[in-house]
Amino acid sequence: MGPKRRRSSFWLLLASLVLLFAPSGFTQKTRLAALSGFTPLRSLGRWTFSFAGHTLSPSGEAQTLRTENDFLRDQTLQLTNENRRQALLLEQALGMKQTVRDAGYRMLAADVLFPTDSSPWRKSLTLTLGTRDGVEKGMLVVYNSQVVGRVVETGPKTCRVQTVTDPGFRAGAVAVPRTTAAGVAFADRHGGVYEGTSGQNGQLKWLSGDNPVENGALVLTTDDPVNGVPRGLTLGRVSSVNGGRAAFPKVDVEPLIDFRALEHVMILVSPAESRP
Amino acid sequence: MTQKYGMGKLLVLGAVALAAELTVLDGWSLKGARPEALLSLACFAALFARDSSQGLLASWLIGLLKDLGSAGPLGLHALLFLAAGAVVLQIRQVLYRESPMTQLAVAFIAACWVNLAAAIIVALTVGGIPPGVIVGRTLLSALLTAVLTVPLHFTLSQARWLVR
Repeated sequence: MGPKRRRSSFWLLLASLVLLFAPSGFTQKTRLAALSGFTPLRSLGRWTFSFAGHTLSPSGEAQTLRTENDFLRDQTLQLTNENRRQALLLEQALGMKQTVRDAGYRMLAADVLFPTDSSPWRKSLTLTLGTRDGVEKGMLVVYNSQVVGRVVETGPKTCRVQTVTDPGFRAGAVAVPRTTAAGVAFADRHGGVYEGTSGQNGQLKWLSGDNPVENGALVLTTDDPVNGVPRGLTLGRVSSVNGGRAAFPKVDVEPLIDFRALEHVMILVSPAESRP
Repeated sequence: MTQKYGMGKLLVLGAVALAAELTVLDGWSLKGARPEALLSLACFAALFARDSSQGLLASWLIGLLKDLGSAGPLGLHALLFLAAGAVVLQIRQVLYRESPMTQLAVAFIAACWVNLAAAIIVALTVGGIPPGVIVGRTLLSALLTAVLTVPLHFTLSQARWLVR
Protein backbone atom coordinates (compact mmCIF):
# COMPACT_ATOMS: atom_id res chain seq x y z
CA MET A 1 0.00 0.00 0.00
CA GLY A 2 1.52 3.33 -1.12
CA PRO A 3 1.78 6.35 1.18
CA LYS A 4 -0.88 8.23 -0.85
CA ARG A 5 -3.39 5.43 -0.48
CA ARG A 6 -2.55 5.06 3.21
CA ARG A 7 -3.15 8.78 3.75
CA SER A 8 -6.50 8.69 1.89
CA SER A 9 -7.60 5.61 3.80
CA PHE A 10 -6.69 7.21 7.11
CA TRP A 11 -8.66 10.41 6.49
CA LEU A 12 -11.72 8.61 5.17
CA LEU A 13 -11.60 6.14 8.06
CA LEU A 14 -11.40 9.05 10.47
CA ALA A 15 -14.33 10.79 8.76
CA SER A 16 -16.41 7.60 9.05
CA LEU A 17 -15.65 7.27 12.74
CA VAL A 18 -16.46 10.94 13.36
CA LEU A 19 -19.83 10.45 11.62
CA LEU A 20 -20.51 7.24 13.53
CA PHE A 21 -19.85 8.86 16.90
CA ALA A 22 -21.25 12.32 16.10
CA PRO A 23 -24.38 13.37 18.06
CA SER A 24 -27.37 11.67 16.44
CA GLY A 25 -29.39 14.89 16.58
CA PHE A 26 -26.99 16.50 14.11
CA THR A 27 -26.50 13.55 11.74
CA GLN A 28 -30.20 12.66 11.61
CA LYS A 29 -31.24 16.19 10.68
CA THR A 30 -28.51 16.43 8.05
CA ARG A 31 -29.35 13.22 6.28
CA LEU A 32 -33.10 13.78 6.39
CA ALA A 33 -32.56 17.25 4.95
CA ALA A 34 -30.48 15.65 2.18
CA LEU A 35 -33.14 13.00 1.61
CA SER A 36 -35.84 15.66 1.27
CA GLY A 37 -34.05 16.63 -1.96
CA PHE A 38 -35.68 13.53 -3.46
CA THR A 39 -39.20 14.91 -2.84
CA PRO A 40 -39.45 16.58 -6.29
CA LEU A 41 -38.69 13.17 -7.84
CA ARG A 42 -42.17 12.01 -6.81
CA SER A 43 -43.80 14.80 -8.78
CA LEU A 44 -41.31 14.31 -11.61
CA GLY A 45 -42.20 10.63 -11.83
CA ARG A 46 -45.91 11.39 -12.09
CA TRP A 47 -45.26 14.14 -14.64
CA THR A 48 -43.09 11.80 -16.74
CA PHE A 49 -45.90 9.25 -16.99
CA SER A 50 -48.39 11.88 -18.10
CA PHE A 51 -45.88 13.42 -20.52
CA ALA A 52 -45.55 10.10 -22.33
CA GLY A 53 -49.02 10.70 -23.77
CA HIS A 54 -47.98 14.07 -25.25
CA THR A 55 -45.96 12.91 -28.25
CA LEU A 56 -46.53 14.18 -31.79
CA SER A 57 -49.19 16.86 -31.79
CA PRO A 58 -50.90 18.33 -34.90
CA SER A 59 -50.70 22.05 -35.77
CA GLY A 60 -53.26 24.90 -35.99
CA GLU A 61 -56.78 24.76 -34.55
CA ALA A 62 -56.63 21.03 -33.99
CA GLN A 63 -53.57 21.54 -31.82
CA THR A 64 -55.33 24.24 -29.77
CA LEU A 65 -58.33 21.99 -29.24
CA ARG A 66 -56.11 19.12 -28.34
CA THR A 67 -54.18 21.26 -25.86
CA GLU A 68 -57.43 22.44 -24.25
CA ASN A 69 -58.71 18.90 -24.16
CA ASP A 70 -55.50 17.70 -22.55
CA PHE A 71 -55.64 20.54 -20.04
CA LEU A 72 -59.22 19.70 -19.03
CA ARG A 73 -58.43 16.00 -18.91
CA ASP A 74 -55.42 16.72 -16.72
CA GLN A 75 -57.56 18.82 -14.39
CA THR A 76 -60.16 16.06 -14.15
CA LEU A 77 -57.42 13.57 -13.39
CA GLN A 78 -55.95 15.82 -10.71
CA LEU A 79 -59.36 16.28 -9.10
CA THR A 80 -60.03 12.54 -9.23
CA ASN A 81 -56.66 11.84 -7.62
CA GLU A 82 -57.26 14.45 -4.94
CA ASN A 83 -60.72 13.03 -4.33
CA ARG A 84 -59.26 9.55 -3.98
CA ARG A 85 -56.58 10.82 -1.60
CA GLN A 86 -59.15 12.61 0.57
CA ALA A 87 -61.35 9.51 0.58
CA LEU A 88 -58.40 7.43 1.75
CA LEU A 89 -57.58 9.91 4.51
CA LEU A 90 -61.23 9.99 5.60
CA GLU A 91 -61.36 6.20 5.61
CA GLN A 92 -58.27 6.09 7.81
CA ALA A 93 -59.63 8.72 10.17
CA LEU A 94 -62.93 6.85 10.52
CA GLY A 95 -61.08 3.56 11.06
CA MET A 96 -58.99 5.14 13.77
CA LYS A 97 -61.99 6.67 15.50
CA GLN A 98 -63.29 3.24 16.43
CA THR A 99 -60.00 2.17 17.96
CA VAL A 100 -58.58 5.23 19.62
CA ARG A 101 -61.11 5.94 22.29
CA ASP A 102 -59.26 8.81 23.76
CA ALA A 103 -60.63 11.79 21.84
CA GLY A 104 -57.56 13.77 22.78
CA TYR A 105 -55.43 12.08 20.10
CA ARG A 106 -54.87 14.22 17.02
CA MET A 107 -53.85 12.91 13.61
CA LEU A 108 -51.52 14.31 10.97
CA ALA A 109 -51.88 12.98 7.43
CA ALA A 110 -48.54 12.29 5.75
CA ASP A 111 -47.43 11.11 2.32
CA VAL A 112 -44.84 8.35 2.02
CA LEU A 113 -41.69 9.54 0.24
CA PHE A 114 -39.79 6.23 0.30
CA PRO A 115 -41.59 3.07 1.40
CA THR A 116 -38.47 1.17 2.44
CA ASP A 117 -34.95 1.32 3.89
CA SER A 118 -31.74 1.16 1.88
CA SER A 119 -30.32 -1.43 4.29
CA PRO A 120 -31.78 -4.93 3.98
CA TRP A 121 -31.51 -5.32 7.77
CA ARG A 122 -33.54 -2.27 8.77
CA LYS A 123 -37.18 -1.53 8.01
CA SER A 124 -38.21 2.10 7.75
CA LEU A 125 -40.33 4.55 5.78
CA THR A 126 -39.58 8.16 4.95
CA LEU A 127 -42.50 10.58 5.21
CA THR A 128 -42.92 14.06 3.80
CA LEU A 129 -43.70 15.71 7.15
CA GLY A 130 -41.11 17.03 9.57
CA THR A 131 -40.57 19.20 12.60
CA ARG A 132 -42.06 22.18 10.74
CA ASP A 133 -45.36 20.31 10.68
CA GLY A 134 -45.20 19.36 14.35
CA VAL A 135 -43.75 15.86 14.01
CA GLU A 136 -41.63 14.71 16.94
CA LYS A 137 -39.58 11.65 17.74
CA GLY A 138 -41.51 8.78 19.31
CA MET A 139 -44.85 9.55 17.67
CA LEU A 140 -46.82 6.54 16.52
CA VAL A 141 -47.69 6.10 12.83
CA VAL A 142 -50.81 4.19 11.81
CA TYR A 143 -52.80 3.15 8.76
CA ASN A 144 -56.42 2.59 9.73
CA SER A 145 -56.00 0.71 13.01
CA GLN A 146 -52.75 -1.03 11.95
CA VAL A 147 -49.63 0.32 13.63
CA VAL A 148 -47.09 1.15 10.91
CA GLY A 149 -44.29 2.16 13.26
CA ARG A 150 -42.76 4.93 15.31
CA VAL A 151 -41.00 8.16 14.29
CA VAL A 152 -37.28 7.75 15.05
CA GLU A 153 -35.70 10.63 13.13
CA THR A 154 -37.02 14.06 12.33
CA GLY A 155 -35.82 16.63 9.83
CA PRO A 156 -37.38 19.99 8.96
CA LYS A 157 -39.48 18.61 6.09
CA THR A 158 -39.17 14.83 6.39
CA CYS A 159 -39.13 12.17 9.07
CA ARG A 160 -38.14 8.52 9.25
CA VAL A 161 -40.45 5.89 10.69
CA GLN A 162 -39.13 2.65 12.14
CA THR A 163 -41.77 0.12 11.06
CA VAL A 164 -43.08 -2.64 13.31
CA THR A 165 -40.96 -5.18 11.40
CA ASP A 166 -37.68 -3.37 12.20
CA PRO A 167 -35.54 -5.31 14.70
CA GLY A 168 -35.43 -2.20 16.91
CA PHE A 169 -39.22 -1.90 17.30
CA ARG A 170 -40.68 -3.07 20.61
CA ALA A 171 -44.10 -2.59 22.16
CA GLY A 172 -46.27 -4.15 24.82
CA ALA A 173 -48.91 -6.35 23.18
CA VAL A 174 -51.71 -8.81 23.84
CA ALA A 175 -52.94 -11.68 21.67
CA VAL A 176 -56.70 -11.61 21.50
CA PRO A 177 -58.25 -15.07 20.92
CA ARG A 178 -60.12 -15.13 17.63
CA THR A 179 -63.16 -16.96 18.95
CA THR A 180 -63.72 -14.74 21.96
CA ALA A 181 -62.59 -11.41 20.62
CA ALA A 182 -65.10 -9.50 22.71
CA GLY A 183 -65.69 -9.66 26.42
CA VAL A 184 -62.47 -11.45 27.37
CA ALA A 185 -61.00 -10.35 30.66
CA PHE A 186 -57.62 -8.65 30.26
CA ALA A 187 -55.98 -11.20 32.57
CA ASP A 188 -57.04 -14.05 30.28
CA ARG A 189 -55.36 -12.51 27.28
CA HIS A 190 -51.79 -13.36 26.37
CA GLY A 191 -49.71 -10.34 27.22
CA GLY A 192 -46.15 -10.10 25.97
CA VAL A 193 -43.61 -7.99 24.16
CA TYR A 194 -43.85 -7.53 20.40
CA GLU A 195 -40.53 -7.24 18.51
CA GLY A 196 -39.64 -6.75 14.86
CA THR A 197 -37.32 -9.31 13.21
CA SER A 198 -36.08 -7.48 10.10
CA GLY A 199 -38.23 -9.81 7.98
CA GLN A 200 -41.85 -9.50 6.87
CA ASN A 201 -43.10 -10.65 10.30
CA GLY A 202 -42.63 -9.70 13.92
CA GLN A 203 -42.53 -11.91 17.01
CA LEU A 204 -44.47 -11.92 20.25
CA LYS A 205 -42.17 -12.82 23.14
CA TRP A 206 -42.38 -13.38 26.88
CA LEU A 207 -46.06 -14.32 26.70
CA SER A 208 -48.05 -14.54 29.90
CA GLY A 209 -51.47 -16.19 30.27
CA ASP A 210 -52.60 -19.77 30.72
CA ASN A 211 -54.40 -20.46 27.44
CA PRO A 212 -52.35 -21.31 24.34
CA VAL A 213 -52.19 -18.70 21.59
CA GLU A 214 -53.98 -19.76 18.43
CA ASN A 215 -53.24 -19.01 14.79
CA GLY A 216 -55.18 -16.04 13.47
CA ALA A 217 -55.42 -14.29 16.84
CA LEU A 218 -55.13 -10.52 16.60
CA VAL A 219 -52.16 -8.91 18.33
CA LEU A 220 -53.07 -5.53 19.81
CA THR A 221 -51.14 -2.84 21.63
CA THR A 222 -51.45 -2.36 25.37
CA ASP A 223 -51.90 1.10 26.83
CA ASP A 224 -48.57 2.95 27.13
CA PRO A 225 -49.24 6.64 27.75
CA VAL A 226 -45.56 7.38 28.40
CA ASN A 227 -44.66 6.39 24.84
CA GLY A 228 -47.90 7.73 23.33
CA VAL A 229 -49.31 4.29 22.49
CA PRO A 230 -53.07 3.91 22.94
CA ARG A 231 -54.59 0.55 23.77
CA GLY A 232 -56.18 -1.60 21.06
CA LEU A 233 -54.25 -0.72 17.89
CA THR A 234 -53.43 -3.69 15.68
CA LEU A 235 -49.84 -4.90 15.39
CA GLY A 236 -50.75 -7.91 13.26
CA ARG A 237 -52.20 -11.38 13.23
CA VAL A 238 -50.61 -14.54 14.64
CA SER A 239 -49.32 -16.52 11.65
CA SER A 240 -47.64 -19.41 13.46
CA VAL A 241 -47.04 -20.69 16.98
CA ASN A 242 -44.09 -22.92 17.74
CA GLY A 243 -44.23 -24.24 21.30
CA GLY A 244 -41.17 -26.51 21.26
CA ARG A 245 -39.53 -27.19 24.61
CA ALA A 246 -38.91 -23.56 25.46
CA ALA A 247 -40.60 -21.93 28.43
CA PHE A 248 -42.27 -19.39 26.17
CA PRO A 249 -43.73 -20.22 22.75
CA LYS A 250 -42.33 -18.61 19.58
CA VAL A 251 -45.20 -16.63 18.09
CA ASP A 252 -44.85 -15.11 14.61
CA VAL A 253 -46.99 -12.06 13.95
CA GLU A 254 -47.80 -10.95 10.42
CA PRO A 255 -48.83 -7.30 9.86
CA LEU A 256 -52.22 -6.90 8.18
CA ILE A 257 -50.86 -4.69 5.41
CA ASP A 258 -47.78 -4.56 3.20
CA PHE A 259 -45.95 -1.40 4.28
CA ARG A 260 -44.19 -1.14 0.90
CA ALA A 261 -47.53 -0.45 -0.76
CA LEU A 262 -48.40 2.52 1.48
CA GLU A 263 -48.88 5.96 -0.05
CA HIS A 264 -50.42 7.81 2.91
CA VAL A 265 -50.30 7.25 6.66
CA MET A 266 -51.46 9.03 9.82
CA ILE A 267 -49.17 10.26 12.57
CA LEU A 268 -50.78 10.06 16.02
CA VAL A 269 -50.20 13.07 18.23
CA SER A 270 -50.90 12.21 21.85
CA PRO A 271 -52.86 14.69 24.02
CA ALA A 272 -49.69 15.64 25.91
CA GLU A 273 -47.90 16.53 22.64
CA SER A 274 -50.94 18.45 21.33
CA ARG A 275 -50.79 20.94 24.18
CA PRO A 276 -48.94 24.16 23.38
CA MET B 1 -8.08 -0.32 -20.98
CA THR B 2 -9.05 1.94 -18.11
CA GLN B 3 -12.57 3.33 -17.75
CA LYS B 4 -11.92 6.67 -16.12
CA TYR B 5 -14.86 8.42 -14.55
CA GLY B 6 -15.78 11.80 -13.10
CA MET B 7 -16.81 11.97 -9.46
CA GLY B 8 -19.72 14.35 -10.10
CA LYS B 9 -21.40 12.09 -12.64
CA LEU B 10 -20.73 9.04 -10.51
CA LEU B 11 -22.47 10.67 -7.54
CA VAL B 12 -25.47 11.61 -9.68
CA LEU B 13 -25.63 7.97 -10.77
CA GLY B 14 -25.33 7.04 -7.09
CA ALA B 15 -28.36 9.19 -6.24
CA VAL B 16 -30.32 7.50 -9.03
CA ALA B 17 -29.19 4.09 -7.76
CA LEU B 18 -30.32 5.03 -4.22
CA ALA B 19 -33.75 6.05 -5.50
CA ALA B 20 -33.91 2.77 -7.45
CA GLU B 21 -32.97 0.75 -4.35
CA LEU B 22 -35.69 2.44 -2.33
CA THR B 23 -38.39 1.97 -4.94
CA VAL B 24 -38.04 -0.34 -7.94
CA LEU B 25 -35.41 -2.80 -6.68
CA ASP B 26 -37.26 -3.30 -3.40
CA GLY B 27 -40.23 -4.51 -5.41
CA TRP B 28 -38.01 -7.26 -6.87
CA SER B 29 -36.76 -8.47 -3.51
CA LEU B 30 -36.69 -12.20 -2.77
CA LYS B 31 -37.26 -13.18 0.86
CA GLY B 32 -36.09 -9.75 1.98
CA ALA B 33 -32.93 -9.84 -0.16
CA ARG B 34 -32.57 -7.47 -3.08
CA PRO B 35 -29.92 -6.44 -5.59
CA GLU B 36 -27.81 -3.58 -4.26
CA ALA B 37 -27.24 -1.10 -7.06
CA LEU B 38 -25.06 1.19 -4.91
CA LEU B 39 -22.67 -1.62 -4.08
CA SER B 40 -22.42 -2.56 -7.77
CA LEU B 41 -21.57 1.06 -8.49
CA ALA B 42 -18.96 1.11 -5.71
CA CYS B 43 -17.36 -2.00 -7.23
CA PHE B 44 -17.21 -0.20 -10.57
CA ALA B 45 -15.68 2.84 -8.85
CA ALA B 46 -12.98 0.74 -7.19
CA LEU B 47 -12.23 -1.43 -10.22
CA PHE B 48 -11.94 1.41 -12.73
CA ALA B 49 -10.59 4.29 -10.61
CA ARG B 50 -7.88 6.53 -12.06
CA ASP B 51 -5.85 6.06 -8.88
CA SER B 52 -6.35 4.65 -5.42
CA SER B 53 -7.37 7.98 -3.85
CA GLN B 54 -10.20 8.40 -6.34
CA GLY B 55 -11.33 4.81 -5.82
CA LEU B 56 -11.37 5.14 -2.04
CA LEU B 57 -13.17 8.47 -2.07
CA ALA B 58 -15.78 7.21 -4.56
CA SER B 59 -16.43 4.04 -2.54
CA TRP B 60 -16.75 6.07 0.67
CA LEU B 61 -19.12 8.63 -0.86
CA ILE B 62 -21.33 5.92 -2.39
CA GLY B 63 -21.46 4.24 1.04
CA LEU B 64 -22.46 7.57 2.55
CA LEU B 65 -25.27 7.85 -0.02
CA LYS B 66 -26.52 4.46 1.13
CA ASP B 67 -26.46 5.71 4.72
CA LEU B 68 -28.82 8.53 3.73
CA GLY B 69 -31.59 6.05 3.05
CA SER B 70 -31.09 3.91 6.13
CA ALA B 71 -32.28 4.10 9.72
CA GLY B 72 -28.87 2.83 10.86
CA PRO B 73 -26.04 5.07 12.07
CA LEU B 74 -24.64 7.55 9.54
CA GLY B 75 -21.19 6.44 8.40
CA LEU B 76 -21.68 2.69 8.82
CA HIS B 77 -22.05 1.84 5.14
CA ALA B 78 -19.45 4.48 4.25
CA LEU B 79 -16.98 2.57 6.43
CA LEU B 80 -17.97 -0.84 5.04
CA PHE B 81 -17.85 0.36 1.41
CA LEU B 82 -14.47 1.98 2.10
CA ALA B 83 -13.06 -1.33 3.37
CA ALA B 84 -14.49 -3.20 0.37
CA GLY B 85 -13.10 -0.56 -2.01
CA ALA B 86 -9.66 -0.73 -0.37
CA VAL B 87 -9.49 -4.50 -0.87
CA VAL B 88 -10.63 -4.26 -4.51
CA LEU B 89 -8.04 -1.54 -5.17
CA GLN B 90 -5.37 -3.72 -3.59
CA ILE B 91 -6.09 -6.76 -5.78
CA ARG B 92 -7.24 -5.14 -9.03
CA GLN B 93 -3.72 -5.23 -10.50
CA VAL B 94 -3.93 -8.99 -10.74
CA LEU B 95 -7.51 -9.04 -12.05
CA TYR B 96 -8.81 -8.85 -15.59
CA ARG B 97 -11.31 -6.08 -14.82
CA GLU B 98 -13.22 -6.18 -18.10
CA SER B 99 -14.19 -9.81 -17.63
CA PRO B 100 -17.83 -10.26 -16.53
CA MET B 101 -16.75 -13.20 -14.37
CA THR B 102 -14.31 -10.98 -12.48
CA GLN B 103 -16.98 -8.34 -11.95
CA LEU B 104 -19.44 -11.00 -10.83
CA ALA B 105 -17.00 -12.49 -8.33
CA VAL B 106 -15.88 -9.11 -6.97
CA ALA B 107 -19.48 -7.95 -6.48
CA PHE B 108 -20.47 -11.23 -4.83
CA ILE B 109 -17.63 -11.14 -2.32
CA ALA B 110 -18.05 -7.42 -1.62
CA ALA B 111 -21.81 -7.87 -1.09
CA CYS B 112 -21.18 -10.82 1.26
CA TRP B 113 -18.78 -8.69 3.30
CA VAL B 114 -20.96 -5.57 3.48
CA ASN B 115 -24.20 -7.44 4.24
CA LEU B 116 -22.67 -9.77 6.79
CA ALA B 117 -20.85 -6.98 8.62
CA ALA B 118 -23.94 -4.72 8.59
CA ALA B 119 -26.15 -7.56 9.84
CA ILE B 120 -23.78 -8.41 12.69
CA ILE B 121 -23.61 -4.75 13.74
CA VAL B 122 -27.42 -4.40 13.61
CA ALA B 123 -27.87 -7.68 15.52
CA LEU B 124 -25.40 -6.58 18.20
CA THR B 125 -26.68 -3.03 18.62
CA VAL B 126 -30.40 -3.40 17.92
CA GLY B 127 -30.98 -7.17 18.14
CA GLY B 128 -33.71 -9.38 16.82
CA ILE B 129 -32.23 -10.94 13.64
CA PRO B 130 -32.05 -14.75 13.70
CA PRO B 131 -28.64 -16.16 12.54
CA GLY B 132 -30.30 -18.29 9.84
CA VAL B 133 -31.89 -15.18 8.34
CA ILE B 134 -28.52 -13.37 8.36
CA VAL B 135 -26.76 -16.14 6.42
CA GLY B 136 -29.58 -16.80 3.96
CA ARG B 137 -30.33 -13.19 3.14
CA THR B 138 -26.63 -12.29 2.87
CA LEU B 139 -25.98 -15.02 0.30
CA LEU B 140 -29.14 -14.32 -1.68
CA SER B 141 -28.53 -10.58 -1.66
CA ALA B 142 -24.91 -11.10 -2.76
CA LEU B 143 -26.07 -13.33 -5.61
CA LEU B 144 -28.65 -10.78 -6.80
CA THR B 145 -26.10 -7.97 -6.54
CA ALA B 146 -23.56 -9.97 -8.55
CA VAL B 147 -26.15 -10.66 -11.24
CA LEU B 148 -27.01 -6.94 -11.43
CA THR B 149 -23.34 -5.94 -11.56
CA VAL B 150 -22.56 -7.50 -14.95
CA PRO B 151 -25.15 -5.54 -17.01
CA LEU B 152 -24.51 -2.39 -14.97
CA HIS B 153 -20.74 -2.47 -15.61
CA PHE B 154 -21.35 -3.36 -19.26
CA THR B 155 -23.68 -0.34 -19.62
CA LEU B 156 -21.21 2.00 -17.93
CA SER B 157 -18.34 0.78 -20.09
CA GLN B 158 -20.34 1.10 -23.31
CA ALA B 159 -22.08 4.42 -22.59
CA ARG B 160 -19.02 6.22 -21.27
CA TRP B 161 -20.74 9.61 -21.32
CA LEU B 162 -22.68 8.40 -18.29
CA VAL B 163 -19.61 8.53 -16.06
CA ARG B 164 -16.93 10.58 -17.84
